[in-house]
Amino acid sequence: MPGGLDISMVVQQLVNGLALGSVYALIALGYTMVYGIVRLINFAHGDIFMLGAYYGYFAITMFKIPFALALPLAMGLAAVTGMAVERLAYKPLRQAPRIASLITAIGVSLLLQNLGLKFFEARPRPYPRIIPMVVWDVGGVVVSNVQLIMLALAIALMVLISLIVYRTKIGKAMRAVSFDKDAARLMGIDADMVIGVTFALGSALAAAGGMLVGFYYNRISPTMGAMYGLKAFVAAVVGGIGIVPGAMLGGLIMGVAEVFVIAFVSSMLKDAIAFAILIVILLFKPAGLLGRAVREKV
Amino acid sequence: MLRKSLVLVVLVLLIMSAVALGAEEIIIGLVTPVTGDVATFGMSVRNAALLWEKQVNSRGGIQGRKVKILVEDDKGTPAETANAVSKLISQSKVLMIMGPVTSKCANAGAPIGQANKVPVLTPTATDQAVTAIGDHVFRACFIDPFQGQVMSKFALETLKAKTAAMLYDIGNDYTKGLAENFKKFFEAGGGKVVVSETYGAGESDFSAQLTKIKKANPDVLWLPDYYNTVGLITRQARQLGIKKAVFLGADGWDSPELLPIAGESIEGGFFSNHFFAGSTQPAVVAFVRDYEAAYKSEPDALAALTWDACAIAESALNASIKKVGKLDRAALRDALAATRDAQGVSGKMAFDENRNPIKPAVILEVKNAKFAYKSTINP
Amino acid sequence: MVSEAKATVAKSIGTRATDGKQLTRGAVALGGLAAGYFLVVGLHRAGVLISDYYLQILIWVGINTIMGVSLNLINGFTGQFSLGHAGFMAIGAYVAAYMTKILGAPFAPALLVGGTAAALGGLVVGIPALRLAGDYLAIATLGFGEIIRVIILNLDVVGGPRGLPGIPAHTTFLWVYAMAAATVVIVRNLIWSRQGRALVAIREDETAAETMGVDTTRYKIMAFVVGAFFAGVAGGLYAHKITFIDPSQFDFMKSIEALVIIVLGGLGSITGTVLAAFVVTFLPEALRAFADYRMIIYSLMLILMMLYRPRGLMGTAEFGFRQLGLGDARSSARDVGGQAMGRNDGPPPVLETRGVCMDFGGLRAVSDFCMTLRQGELVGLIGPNGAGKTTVFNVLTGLSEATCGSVHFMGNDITRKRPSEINDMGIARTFQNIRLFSNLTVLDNVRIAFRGERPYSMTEAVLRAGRYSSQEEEICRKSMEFLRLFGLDDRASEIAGKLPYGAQRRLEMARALATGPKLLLLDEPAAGMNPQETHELLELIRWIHERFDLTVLLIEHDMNLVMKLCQRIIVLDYGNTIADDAPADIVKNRRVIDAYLGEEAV
Repeated sequence: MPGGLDISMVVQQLVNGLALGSVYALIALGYTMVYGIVRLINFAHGDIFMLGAYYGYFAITMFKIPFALALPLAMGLAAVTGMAVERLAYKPLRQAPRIASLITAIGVSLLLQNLGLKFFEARPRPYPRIIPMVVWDVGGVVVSNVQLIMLALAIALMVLISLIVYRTKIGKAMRAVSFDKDAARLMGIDADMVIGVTFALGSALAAAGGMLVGFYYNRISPTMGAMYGLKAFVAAVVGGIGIVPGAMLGGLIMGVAEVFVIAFVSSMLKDAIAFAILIVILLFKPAGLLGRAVREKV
Repeated sequence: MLRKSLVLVVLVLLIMSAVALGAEEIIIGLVTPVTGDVATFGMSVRNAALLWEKQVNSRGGIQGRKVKILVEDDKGTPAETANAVSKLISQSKVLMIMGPVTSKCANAGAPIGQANKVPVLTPTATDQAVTAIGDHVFRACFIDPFQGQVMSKFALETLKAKTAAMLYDIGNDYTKGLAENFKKFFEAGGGKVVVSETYGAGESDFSAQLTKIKKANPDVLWLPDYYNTVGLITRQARQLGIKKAVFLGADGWDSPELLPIAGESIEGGFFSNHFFAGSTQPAVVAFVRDYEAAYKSEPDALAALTWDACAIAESALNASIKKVGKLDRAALRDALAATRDAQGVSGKMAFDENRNPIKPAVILEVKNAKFAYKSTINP
Repeated sequence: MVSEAKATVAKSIGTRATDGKQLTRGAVALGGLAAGYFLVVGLHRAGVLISDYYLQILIWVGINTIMGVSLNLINGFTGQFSLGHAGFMAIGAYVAAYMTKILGAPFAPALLVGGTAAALGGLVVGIPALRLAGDYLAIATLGFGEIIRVIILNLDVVGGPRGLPGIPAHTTFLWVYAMAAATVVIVRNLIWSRQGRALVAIREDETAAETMGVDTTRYKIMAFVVGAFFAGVAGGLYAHKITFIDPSQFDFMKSIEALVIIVLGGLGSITGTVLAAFVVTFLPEALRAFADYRMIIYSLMLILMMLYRPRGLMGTAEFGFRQLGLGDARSSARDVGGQAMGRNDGPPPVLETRGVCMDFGGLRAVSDFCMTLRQGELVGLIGPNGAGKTTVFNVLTGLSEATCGSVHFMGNDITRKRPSEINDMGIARTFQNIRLFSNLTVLDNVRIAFRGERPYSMTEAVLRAGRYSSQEEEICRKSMEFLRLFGLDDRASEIAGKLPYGAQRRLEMARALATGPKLLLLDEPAAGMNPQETHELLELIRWIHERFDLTVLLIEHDMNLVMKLCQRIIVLDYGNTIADDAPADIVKNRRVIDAYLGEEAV
């Protein structure tokens, strides 16, 4: 590229990529947790992310709730939505072939998106301004307070979820159910409850992602879930689906890779190159970056 | 027996005269996305068309005939468009088709109209190829090269710009067409496009592209996308410290949603449009007033273009019925082609030999969180 | 593929009768197809029921049928989760449209070239499929589809994002109808052939398929190539119907649509796919009256259909000739009185391992394993749990690659050979935890294992020509023979997974024998059997050993069985060979007794 590499630009792009990647990571966490526990690619997850953004939007604009309260509120509502979806659409299919729940998930995704188009209206909406933007220029690298808040919130939530999964009783139960549902049941774990909680946690994270996207980019729309959902899903797989730190790593890599391809290769071929990288990663690590290939017992 | 036959004959005569007196309705098929990714555009089109239907019928119809608009959803996809157009023609027997809205849908839907000799008038499909499909296909909007030319000329002559950057949606025919034509005319006029970047549909992070653009430090930044994306780009651009570049755009900017999304970042930007909503021309004033009363929001460019398309259709329907005394697709096509002085919000419109409208463009400026009139450019 | 063995075993059907039925079936199929076509076209011409609009929807149904059936071959029959089918369709559409619009080629060759280009794409995608499975493969194929789309987006010669308008409208109802019918017939014929059984075996259990001699690499790629070809043809038909294509028409959602069709219809059911193509194409049109609520209702109905029919509208069942009383005799079993035949020619074969060792991470599961098996020997391999016995089997059959040392079979080094190659050379095995193709019938389990000397080609399978008929009859006859030998002939049509345990063990042995081995490896055949069953097993193994002139290596914990059966016993402990002797001497061996101390009473 003209002018050669320039350090401030590399750093700037890294900042851009991390900001984008942190959102992917938040959404990818939901994918990965749900997959880990019921082996379902929850296609509706991207639309829960969209719903979360709208819950927050209506909380702030119609009910005048401050952001700090609207965020947990939207997360709670999304958690309830996620659990409801699980109960109504996935639970009846738990004994059915996996692919049946996958198609149901696609159906739920279409349903939520079209409900959104109808009831939230198709027009994109500007997100309410919460705090005035402050921009710092550090040696040619521009960072805004909004970016920092987003990054900090995303990291805080990821730490929180890791603590829940690895340090609490319910987290232990989640890992047990993920490992062997029947054995966990025999140990007295209420698997249905644990699955419900997993959907709730994943959905809450997606809602947080949705609100952060609204907060940072200032625009939400009923169809926003599709693109973010797809990218986050890919990120989850690249990290090793079912593995919590894998989703975070995958999300960040996805964000940074995308930005760097635009910055140093070509924005026209961005998605093609990003996907090509992913395929190559998978060819070398068939179970994702942090996934371990399971040796089949013969 | 005789009596029975007589009764029958009288009955038939009665029915026939009733039909003649009641005059056949004018059925127009409207193909527009009311579901799917671009439903937001489709809604504006439907709103304007149904507003016109109501108004024209309350005026007593066209030549005493009521107008009926049948809306079919095309979901913004070519295959659904083909179904919608086909259904309207072969099931509903419409006189003409209004729509489709996007160029790719028009490219898939208009050939069916052409093959069945049904006039198709798209309010908003800007791709040049659309009207090249055949002599039954018309449009009410500018074609891509025109706006590209208008704005590159404005950049070179009024803003005295030497360098430009572009950022557009690689997956969207409208924005790509405008980008290419801007580049063509801008460089022909002695300017230079120093950096050209793209993104994909539905994306909301442009920081990587804008960081590159910032480095190139252009005089103007050409953003030929719709308001919902442009607002995001201008915010991120200012945030990343792009200060010098003047933002330029096209009719996709025209929406009441642009300013809330973009905030103050878009101040000082210019875009080309069909009309100026704040104009004092009676046609514009009436349209904006009635639209706001009916839908509680200002009309955007798509609504305005649909209004223009309806005005063109109305004048051609009038002329054709006057001429042949009945509803006839061939006569309607000829009347459309011969359109002169149809009065819409864009002013007086006529068609050129390629069935594209000849009408002036206005350039608007974003000033104090409002659109302000800058100048009018005649073709 | 459900065989009705029971009904037909009793009455032997003569060859002539079969031919007669085959002709009838062909005539019924052709007649039905022609009648369907003329009905639709007649109604359309007469302007009754079928307007231009409905004819157009029927064309989409046909195209969706081709998409669905071809994806079902990859996804439903071969079990490879593909999310990139729209990518193949895009290649076919663009190549065909480029040929006709820009190069002015006629339609038929354009379709063919489009399909072939897509098939090349299928070849490329088939390669990651060799390393990836399940959801990871899904992502790789999804990525492939997106890459295709982005590449087209950047190709200005075909219009980039603006697309390619003005494609000649060559696609007629006849074209689509004929191509859809051809796709259905070809895929059906392919599935009901030896190739098709191999594909289904991969779906059911890839490892077992490979050890039964199925070259999984080749068949997986074949599924992708054939599936992609038809998707490409569907793309060509689509392009010449819609007359305008752009990359957004072949996005991720298009792949999803094809997936919805096959799952809704029933994975692995061709007739279900056709039915679902109708439903998925017509439903959104039928809901037009609901305007803005149309897609909401559509998605709700999709969810409800899946909730009430989780295995799809048709499950894996088919509607076909059988329901019309025209069943294919070859797909069911018939009584046979012929002689059982194994491959028993050739010089005395010898299996020899030289210093084989096997490490898992830091753990050495087998070390310096040397063993020689002479022609006709019946040898036992025993040792405490975790001694490395199954690992030895895995090395011998190619499922694990030895860390060091080499394995020689009949003079050939087979150390680095694939399991299917090793099986081809004449080593077959059973598994400790039975690995049948448990969703298939008993008969199909055995049929998958059968291969003739010069097996018929794919073309012969698709055209039902050449050696197909005679070989299929032969395979069916021999399979039934094997089942009879193992007392399973009256259960030929049952689903393997539903057999009682003992019968499953026997079926697994029958399946292994059907591959025509010279060396048979049995991994704990008596596990879970009661004394009576064990005794029968003993007789059975003795009998097959003699009957098929086999060399047998047996892992077994039942010492009684091993002592009675084996001529020689090898004892493994912690990966080391601690004894290799006649049964009478083994029981006196101090080290063996130590190794087993507290484990089993010897």
